[in-house]
Amino acid sequence: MASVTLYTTGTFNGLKAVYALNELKAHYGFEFAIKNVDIFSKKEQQEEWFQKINPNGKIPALVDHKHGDFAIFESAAILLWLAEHYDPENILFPSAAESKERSEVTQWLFWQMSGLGPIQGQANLFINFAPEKIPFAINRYTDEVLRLYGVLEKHLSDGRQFVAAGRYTIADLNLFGHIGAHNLQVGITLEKFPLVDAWLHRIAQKQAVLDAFEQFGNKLIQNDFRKPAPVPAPSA
Amino acid sequence: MITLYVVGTPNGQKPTIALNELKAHYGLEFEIYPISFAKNEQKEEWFLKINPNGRIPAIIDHNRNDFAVFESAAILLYLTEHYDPDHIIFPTDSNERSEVIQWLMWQMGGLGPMQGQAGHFNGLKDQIPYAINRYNEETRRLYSVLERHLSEGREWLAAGRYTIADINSFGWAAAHELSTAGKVTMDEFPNVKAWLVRVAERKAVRETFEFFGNKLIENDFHRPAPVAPAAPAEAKWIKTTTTKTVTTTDKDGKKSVVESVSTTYKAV
Repeated sequence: MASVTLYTTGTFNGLKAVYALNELKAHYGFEFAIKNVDIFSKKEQQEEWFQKINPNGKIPALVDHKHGDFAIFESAAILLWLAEHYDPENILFPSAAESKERSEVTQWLFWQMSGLGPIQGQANLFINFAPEKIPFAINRYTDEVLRLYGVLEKHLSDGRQFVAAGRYTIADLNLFGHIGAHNLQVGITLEKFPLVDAWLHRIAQKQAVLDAFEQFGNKLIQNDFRKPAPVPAPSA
Repeated sequence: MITLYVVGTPNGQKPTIALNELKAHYGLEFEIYPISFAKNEQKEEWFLKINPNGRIPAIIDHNRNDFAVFESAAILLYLTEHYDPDHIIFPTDSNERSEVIQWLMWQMGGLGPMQGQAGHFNGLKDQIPYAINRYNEETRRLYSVLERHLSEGREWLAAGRYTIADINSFGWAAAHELSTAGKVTMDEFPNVKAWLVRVAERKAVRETFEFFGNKLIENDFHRPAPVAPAAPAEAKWIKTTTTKTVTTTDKDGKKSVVESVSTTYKAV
């Protein structure tokens, strides 16, 4: 019997909670359900039933059946909720007693949510999806993406293997997908960011992460984080 | 003592308001170190040690071994965790806390960045219509989410009362006309407007805007409002000026000595 239902899809925000749920399942036998929301063609996230769960009309969103169908929106808020309620052994989030470590995780959660996520999203838009190429915007967001990756590189250079608290936490899960998409979305490589590259591959070894990508048919890890080759147009 | 490194931007206003609330209720001591954007102080090495992302706001908590916190909403959560035992601005109930956190994230991931882009593109001399339109419209959409949320009988963003969720969104919402060059107004969003007025009744909020010389509240949230860093109102603050010499060594091993003057403001 599923304790929670996650409404999501295989985008980089959508996958975050899937990694966490997979970890909780592996460690605790935690049961959950995933409902795929078609955000591209059917635009289900704009439907009334979904807006009741997430007033912002975006995925992911989670409904917790063990808490009176309490709804949570915002990917990092979902990670914090799962960590608070379903991780008694603190495999993904430091304990309440480790308040410094918890704050570190929280700080880096917000760094991704307010910076890396939105900015890389804008880069992706202007490079890959905008109806016209606007060099000013492309440069603005690419430069800021590179600056942010530089911040992460420097942070990891202080002997860190993980983003916060000296261990694998939701801070890593929260960042993984977007960093993985550096080439796909922004067309950059990680040559100048070797520690970020090492961290990326370190997290990509987690079974919970691999399973999530497979569940959604996302081949990014398989492709070693490179943009897939353009699919040739079908003949006839 | 807590030191807040800040400028009076919407993100800078957030911890300032929270600290003013905690000062009023508990007598919590804090001082403000105004960062100079003109000097790019936030990118200097000493500041990057505090915030590796090189932005304001950031705090150092001298009460707790000089622990540093960056990211405005993380600072709000930190302050309530350690300095709000009566829970005046953050609930105890776990569902209510999650509500607060969800709206913190909504602002941090949405309203802040998108309205910020609107502000940037609206302010460019060579206007780019596609970008202006995109960010104005996304800003409008975000306010419509807030409007609907508040229209369901809510006076506050989360937990049925004034919390850091309101503090976290107030400064940005107050600046809606500025960021969108007047394209988004509260004419469309009466519940958001009512909420803005309600939050602005808090003394801590008004003190903060006064400190930063921000006249948006006085102007009923309309443009124009001088947001340029005015000299902070001195009456309620003790100003301390210190001069420090900093020796730097460049990559060729050449040393240079620089004198820098810094000013901090301590709340009376």
